[in-house]
Amino acid sequence: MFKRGFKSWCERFATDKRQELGLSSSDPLDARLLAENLGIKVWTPHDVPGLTQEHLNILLHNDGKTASDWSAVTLIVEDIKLVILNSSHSLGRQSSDLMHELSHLILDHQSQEMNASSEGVLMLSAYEKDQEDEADWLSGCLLLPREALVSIMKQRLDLTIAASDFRVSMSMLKYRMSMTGVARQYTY
Amino acid sequence: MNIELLAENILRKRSIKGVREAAKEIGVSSATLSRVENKKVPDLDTFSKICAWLGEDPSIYLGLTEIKPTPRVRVHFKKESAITPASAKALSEMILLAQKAILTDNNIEG
Repeated sequence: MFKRGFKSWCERFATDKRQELGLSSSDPLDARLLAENLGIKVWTPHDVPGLTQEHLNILLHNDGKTASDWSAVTLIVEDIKLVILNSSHSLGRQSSDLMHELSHLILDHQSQEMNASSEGVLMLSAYEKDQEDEADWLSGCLLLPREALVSIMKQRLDLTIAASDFRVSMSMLKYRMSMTGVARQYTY
Repeated sequence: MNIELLAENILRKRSIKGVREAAKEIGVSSATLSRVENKKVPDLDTFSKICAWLGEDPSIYLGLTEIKPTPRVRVHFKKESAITPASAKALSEMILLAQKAILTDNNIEG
C-alpha cells in the first residue's frame, strides 16, 4: 500500500521530467537521458577500470538460458552516484533496470552498506519491500506515463511496436495498461 | 586524538634540541612540552601552538583525515535467482574497482 498521493506524485514527476527534457508527456523517455539529467553516471562492467577478463566473463555470462544473476549495481560515494548495468541483458531489460535504479535514487531510498570480504560481497538483508514497490511504480510511470498509455490506445498502435518504442516488455505495457485503468477505458 | 603521533612528531622535529629550547620556540613551558612528549593530552592552546610549530594541520591528530568516504552500495539480483560464490566475488571486485575509479576521478581519496 502506497502513501496517500504517491501515485499522483509519480505521474506528475514523469510529466514534469519529460517537459524539462523537451519531450511531450506521451513521448518515450530514454532512461540514460534521464540519468544524465539527474547527474547519475551509467556504466557497464566494461567501463570499470582494471576489471579482469575472468571477472568480466563471470559477470556477463549469459547463455540465453541462464542469464547472469545480477541486474544492476548502484554505488553512492559522497555525492557521486553510479549505476552499473548488466550489459548481457537485452536493451529493454537494461532500460527497465536502469529506470528502477534511478527511481530508488529519485525517492532517496537508503541503500545497503557493503561489507566486502576476501570471499566476496556479503549482502545484507533484502531491500525493504515497500521501497521496491515504490521504485517499481515510479519506474513504470517514468517509462509509461498514463498519458502515453492513453495516446497508444487512442492511436490504436500495435502493442508490440508500442512496447518496442518505449523500450519496455509487453508484460510491463500490459501491467501499466491494467493498473492505470487505461485498458478498461479504451478498447480496440 | 592521536597523541602517539603527536609525541613522535615533536620528538622528530626537536631532534637534538633540548626540551627547554624547543618549548621556548613553541611558546609553552618545558614541563608542558615534556608532558606532551610523554603522551599526555595537551590543552587546546598548547595543542594549537605545537601544531603551528610543527607546521601541521591539527586535523591529522584529530582523526579527521582518517574518515574515508563510505560507499553505499545496492545490488539488484535477477529475481528468484541464487547468486553463485563466483558471481559474488566478481561483483565484489567490480564494486571495489568502480569505487576506486570514482574516488580517483573526483580526487576524493586522500
